[in-house]
Amino acid sequence: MSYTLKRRFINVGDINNSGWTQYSNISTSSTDDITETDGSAWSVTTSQITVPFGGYYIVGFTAYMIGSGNLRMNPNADLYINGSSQSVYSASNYIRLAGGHDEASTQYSGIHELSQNDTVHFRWAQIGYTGTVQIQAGESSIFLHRIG
Amino acid sequence: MSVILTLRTVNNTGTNSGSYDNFNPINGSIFNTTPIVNQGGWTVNNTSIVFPEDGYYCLMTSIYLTGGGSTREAPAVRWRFGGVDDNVKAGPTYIRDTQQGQSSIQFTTFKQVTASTSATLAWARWGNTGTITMQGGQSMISIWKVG
Repeated sequence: MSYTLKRRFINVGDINNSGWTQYSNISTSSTDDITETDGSAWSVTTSQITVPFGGYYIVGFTAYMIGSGNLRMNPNADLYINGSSQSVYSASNYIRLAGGHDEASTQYSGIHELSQNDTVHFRWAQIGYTGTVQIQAGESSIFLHRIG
Repeated sequence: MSVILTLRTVNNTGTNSGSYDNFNPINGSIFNTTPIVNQGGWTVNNTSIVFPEDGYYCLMTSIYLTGGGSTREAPAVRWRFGGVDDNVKAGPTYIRDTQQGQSSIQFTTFKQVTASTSATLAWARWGNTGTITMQGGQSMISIWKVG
């Protein structure tokens, strides 16, 4: 057993908005996802995950998204722990919205030291042009795995 | 004890300065020499990381990039171990520089190394010429010994 959690993102509409925004976009359903624990339970709400046990964790996500409405969109992601930015930007999701290019994805993986009851989520902010970008439910996920 | 290194890079404007698809370490500093996590006796200087033990390692690389010098740049990056390029290349970093001037690159790979092997990042140009800056304050590298 281990402390491992994987949850899909859900589509909550446009994430390409100015300013760092926290969305209620984490699935609370464990169906087809992973919930492993060595004792203490994970807590998952649609807006954040609460860590059950302290240690070093691989924390990450993959987000697949579709854009519409404008050109050259590029929402940026950042990890927040206990509401504080960790300044690990993920923005490899340029969407031209021309020539058939309306999809992209971006991802992040890194090792972070977490304490019991720390909260974790990713926020999004527009850094490209305006337009609507929606994370695709069921095809994107957030994960944490304790390694030591 | 787990063998883990997490550190930031530093700002460097040289990521897109090389010739097309020709990977080389860039001039100047690359790594922040004060790791966020240093478990297991890692040595870091501003241009290289030294592995503390023999073993298999997972390397997670996340680099945030900003443009401004031209249009349609796309620098690519790979790890170089002991002076030899790793086979894995990563380059989803297209920067249009019109309505969109920032991007990032994230890739994860595994490597077997011996103790005291040094590693650095080598960059190449895959798109147009122009200055692309690695932003150290928003970039992170994590390395973990898995076995």
